[in-house]
Amino acid sequence: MQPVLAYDQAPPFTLPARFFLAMPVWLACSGLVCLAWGSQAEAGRFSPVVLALTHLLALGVLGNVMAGAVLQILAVVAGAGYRHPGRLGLAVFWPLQLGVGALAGAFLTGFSALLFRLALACLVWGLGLLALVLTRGLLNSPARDATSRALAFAAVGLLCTVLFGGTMAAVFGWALPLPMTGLLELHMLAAALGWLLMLVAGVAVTVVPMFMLTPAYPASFMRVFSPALALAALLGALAVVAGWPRLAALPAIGAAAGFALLTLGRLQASRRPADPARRFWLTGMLALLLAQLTLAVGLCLAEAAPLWALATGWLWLAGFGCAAAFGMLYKITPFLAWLHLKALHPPRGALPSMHGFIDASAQARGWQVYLFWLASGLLWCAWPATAPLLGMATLALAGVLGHAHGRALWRYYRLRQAFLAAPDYPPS
Amino acid sequence: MTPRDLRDLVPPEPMEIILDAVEAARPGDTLAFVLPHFPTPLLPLLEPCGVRYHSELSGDGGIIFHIERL
Repeated sequence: MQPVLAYDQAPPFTLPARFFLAMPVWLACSGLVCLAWGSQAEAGRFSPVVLALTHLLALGVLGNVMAGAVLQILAVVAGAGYRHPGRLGLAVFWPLQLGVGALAGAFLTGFSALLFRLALACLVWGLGLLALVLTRGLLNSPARDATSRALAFAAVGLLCTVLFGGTMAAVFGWALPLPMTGLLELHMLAAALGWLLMLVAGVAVTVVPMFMLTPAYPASFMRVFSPALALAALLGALAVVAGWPRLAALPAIGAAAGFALLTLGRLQASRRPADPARRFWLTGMLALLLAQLTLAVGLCLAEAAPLWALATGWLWLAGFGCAAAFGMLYKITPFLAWLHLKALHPPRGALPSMHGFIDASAQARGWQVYLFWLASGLLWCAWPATAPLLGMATLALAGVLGHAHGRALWRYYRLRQAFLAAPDYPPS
Repeated sequence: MTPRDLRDLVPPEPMEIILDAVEAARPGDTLAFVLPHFPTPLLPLLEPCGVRYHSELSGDGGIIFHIERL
């Protein structure tokens, strides 16, 4: 069944917008952390600074974009309106922000038990509520298209990520005697495969052909990709439980590489090769492919250097996840601004086009700075002493993204005020 | 009337163009656009405009979307 489109169910723009605006703030915070402590990453992927940066990116940057986008998509595409969107926004937004700050703080202050407890309470509340809203909305929705099915699986992936991550936070918070290695493997598997890849792939099958003007994904892929990804995650989890952590990565490598290659093929055939969003997605898919290579190399080496694990994490989060999120956000923010203003029935000619909110040159500039940031991060994985460069690149990217989206939202606000104050409003 | 081909534009540009043309049209005017697929996202926005629409296959993989302003 095709998705149901219900613009009248669209939540107020403030619901997703607050999450989108929080993203550059957390990105800037990660830049500052990198400037202050980034060179300590030499200690490996479990050093406090790497763990703090990972969660600032995964939750503060990606988590906020995904939460805002999912709440918006769910209402419009799945036709699942919210009875109290304002309260829902606050109930997810503030716990998420407080939880991100507390978790990063917990890592940076030498694993503070108090901060872990605070982070646990906030993130279980905020992300658990998001997963429940997502699950409930999809169960009640008549939409049964490939994207809606993948969103349902992603909700389960998010719940598992929160469950395993929350258990680890409880281990640090109350010194519980639980096996950390197994929990960590399960947490990463659920987050990378069950949540991030499932969500991006689910969105990609709709938005890549539509926005990048590419051929559609094969019908057979549309039918099987979400259950196949879920199966890959399950097989990986079983391998972890059975005590074969190296085998756990194999289904993930196959699934991620397959999706990346298929999407690269679509993007190569795009009828809009110069579209900045296509460049973001191309970069993201190449990074995803490269991440599988670094993961495989790390697994093959008996005594793998921290470089491989760091590079895999960086390519998954900053390369794949952030490229997809930033690329789509350049489409989402102007469209939502335009759609909400259109609903006010402005006088003819008063509403600017989508490019009037964020133009193509700003998007192209964003991609260039993003690419520099991605390359700086890879350099940092190999030589942690280059952390100041990555820190500065992160701050620059936060500035470019914050400026583009903040300016679009400010323009939306000014136009909305003008339309509402017009003497002939509301139009008869 | 030759339908305007909007297939090489990225969404939601075709939506903007069609809604703009509908707003500018007078009662009785007809409009036609070639699109890559049936424009499901456009329909909820067209409904309040007082139009009648139908579509046919373009024969080269797209559809021709006809709109009449009532």
